[in-house]
Amino acid sequence: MIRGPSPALRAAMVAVLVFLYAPMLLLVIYSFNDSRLVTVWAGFSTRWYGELFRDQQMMSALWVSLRVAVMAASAAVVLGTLAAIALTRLGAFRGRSVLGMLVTAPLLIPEVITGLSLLLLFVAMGQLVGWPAERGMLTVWIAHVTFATAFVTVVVAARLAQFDRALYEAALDLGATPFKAFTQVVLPVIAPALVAGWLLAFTLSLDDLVIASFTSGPGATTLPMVVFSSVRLGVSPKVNALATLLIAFVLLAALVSWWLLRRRSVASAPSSAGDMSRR
Amino acid sequence: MSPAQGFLSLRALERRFAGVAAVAAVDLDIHRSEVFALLGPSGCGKSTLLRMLAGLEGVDAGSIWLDGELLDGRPAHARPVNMMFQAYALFPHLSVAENVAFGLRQMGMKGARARSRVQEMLELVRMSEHAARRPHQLSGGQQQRVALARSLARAPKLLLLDEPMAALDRQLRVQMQRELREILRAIEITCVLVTHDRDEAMTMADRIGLMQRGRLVQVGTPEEVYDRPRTRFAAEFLGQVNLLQGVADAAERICVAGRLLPTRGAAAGTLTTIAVRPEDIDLHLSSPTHGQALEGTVSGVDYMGAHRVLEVAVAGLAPLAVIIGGSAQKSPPVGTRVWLDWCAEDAVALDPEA
Repeated sequence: MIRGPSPALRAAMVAVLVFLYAPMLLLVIYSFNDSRLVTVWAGFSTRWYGELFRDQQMMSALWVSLRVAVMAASAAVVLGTLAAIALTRLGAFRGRSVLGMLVTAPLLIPEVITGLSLLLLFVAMGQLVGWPAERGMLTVWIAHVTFATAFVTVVVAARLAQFDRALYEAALDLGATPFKAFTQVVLPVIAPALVAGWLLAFTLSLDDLVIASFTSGPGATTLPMVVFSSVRLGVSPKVNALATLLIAFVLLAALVSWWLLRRRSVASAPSSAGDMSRR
Repeated sequence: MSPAQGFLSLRALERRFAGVAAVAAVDLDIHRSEVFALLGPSGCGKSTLLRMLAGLEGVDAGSIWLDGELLDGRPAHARPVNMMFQAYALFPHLSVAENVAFGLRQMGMKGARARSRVQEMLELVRMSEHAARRPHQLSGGQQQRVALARSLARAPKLLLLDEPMAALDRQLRVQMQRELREILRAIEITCVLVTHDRDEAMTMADRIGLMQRGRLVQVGTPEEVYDRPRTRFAAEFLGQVNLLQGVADAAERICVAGRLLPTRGAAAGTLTTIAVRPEDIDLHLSSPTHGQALEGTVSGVDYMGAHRVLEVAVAGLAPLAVIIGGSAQKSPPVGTRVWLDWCAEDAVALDPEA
C-alpha cells in the first residue's frame, strides 16, 4: 500500500510552492488589472496587453532580445555539444579534468564579473585590432554564447555519459564512416538533450540583464534592460503584462524540454530494465 | 608471412593494454562456412579478439587474413565483417526495418532493392510483421533476431557474435541457440562467436577454441576438446572431471593410490595428472576379476533426474565423482563398498604445465 506524505510534509510542500509562486501569481493577476495604479484592483481588463503591443520601444527591445537569444542558443548548442563530446567521449586525455572545470566554471562565476570582464575584453580588442568597433547586438551575442555554452555542455554531457558506445560501434561496423555514425546515430539519439540545451540557453539569454548591460551599446537594448529602466521610473502595468507573457513562454519552454528528456528516458527504459531483469 | 590457409586466418595476433597482453600469440585457421566458438572465462581476451576481427580494437602485432585479403589497418567500416553486439545495440531512434536497412544505406543501396533485401532478412529471422516497431517495443528474443538480421543484411564474409545469448533468460536461450544455429547453417556463413558458456559453445559450434589468459590453449571439435582435454584448465572448464596424479609406467598404466590403472598418452616414469570424466568411470559392487580397481566407499548421492552423481571416498585420494544413469534401485546407498575402474581411452594424461 502506498502511503501519502505526512501532513507536516504536505504543509512544508505547500509553503515552498507558495513562497516560489505567490509573487508571480500576483504579477499575473495584476497584469489584468484595469487600473493604472499597480496595487489597486479596478476590475478585469486586457488593456495593458494592447498598450504593450503598441509600445514601440518595448517591441523593438523584444525583437532584439529574441534575435540575440535565438542566435546565442544556436551557437551555444554547437560549441557546448563539441565540448561535451570532448569531455565524455575522447577517453582520458591530458588535461581532461582541467578542461571540464574550465568549461563549467562560468556556471559559478558571478554574472557581474563575467559581464565586466567581457566589457574589458571588448574595449581592449576594439583598441588593439579595431574589432568589435562598437558594442551592440554582436557583443551581447558573443557574451551570451560564452555563458550559455557552459550550461549546454553540462546538459549534453549528462546525456552523452549515458550514451551506449556500442551504438556508435554498431554504426561503424555496419559501414558508416565515423562522421556518418555521429550524424546518423549519435546526434539523433542525443537530440532531446540538444533541444533541452537550446531551450535552456534561449531562456537564459532572454532573462539576462546584468551581462547585457555591460556588453550592450546604444541601439541594442534588450528587453530586460528596458523593463529594468522603466521600473525605476515607476512600475507600469504594461510591464506586468510583458512579464506575464514571458513567464508563460519560459514555462512552456521548460515544459517542452522536460517532456523531451523524459520521453527519451521512458522510451529507452523498458529495454534496459528488461535486460537487467533477464540477467 | 605467407598468406592464409584458412578462409579466416589469424597469425601471431597480439593486443596489449598498458603493457599487459590481452591477446597473445594467437594463430588460428577457420574454414569457410564454419561456426567457431571462442570459449573462456571472463577476462580471457576472447571479446578483445572478436573486436580485433571487427576492426573495433587495434592490433599491436600479427595479421588477420579473410578470404585471401589482408585486413590489417582497415577501419571497421571498411571490412566485410559484421557483428551482433552483446546487448544488440539496436538503434533506438529507428524502426526494425530501418535498423536492418542501416548497413545497406551505407553501401548506397536504396529504394526497391534495399526494401526487398530488408524484407528478405526479416523473413529469415521471422520478424516481418514487426518491421514498423521500435526496438524498445520488442522482447529480448525479438531484439536478438533483429540484431541478427541487421548484421546479415550486408552479406558479410564473416559474422561475429558477441555473447549472443547473454541478454536472454535461460529458457529462451536454448530455443534461440537452436534457431540461430539453424539460420547460420542454412545461409552457410562463416561465423566466430564468443561465449563463456560451455554448453552454448558445444551446441552452437563446429569447433571450439578455448582461451586462457589471452592465449588459445586448445582448438578442436566439441567432442575432441571435451574427451581429450590437453590441460587441467581445459579439462575443468568443459565439465566436471576427476583429476588423479601418479607415476606412469611403460605399459600405459598409471599408479594411483597403490593400484595400476589404464591411461593413455602418459610418458613412462614421469609424474602425470590424468583426467577422467565422472560418466566414464565404471562402478562395480565387487572387485573386478580383470585388472586392478580403486576400492572406496560411497559417501554421497546427488539425484539429478536423468542421472545420479555419486561421491566416492578412496583412501589417499580426494573424493571422486561418478555419474551413473538408470533407475533408483541400481543406486548403491551411502556406505556401500565399491570398486572403480575405466578404459584407457577415457583417462587422458594432461600436459604438465598449468
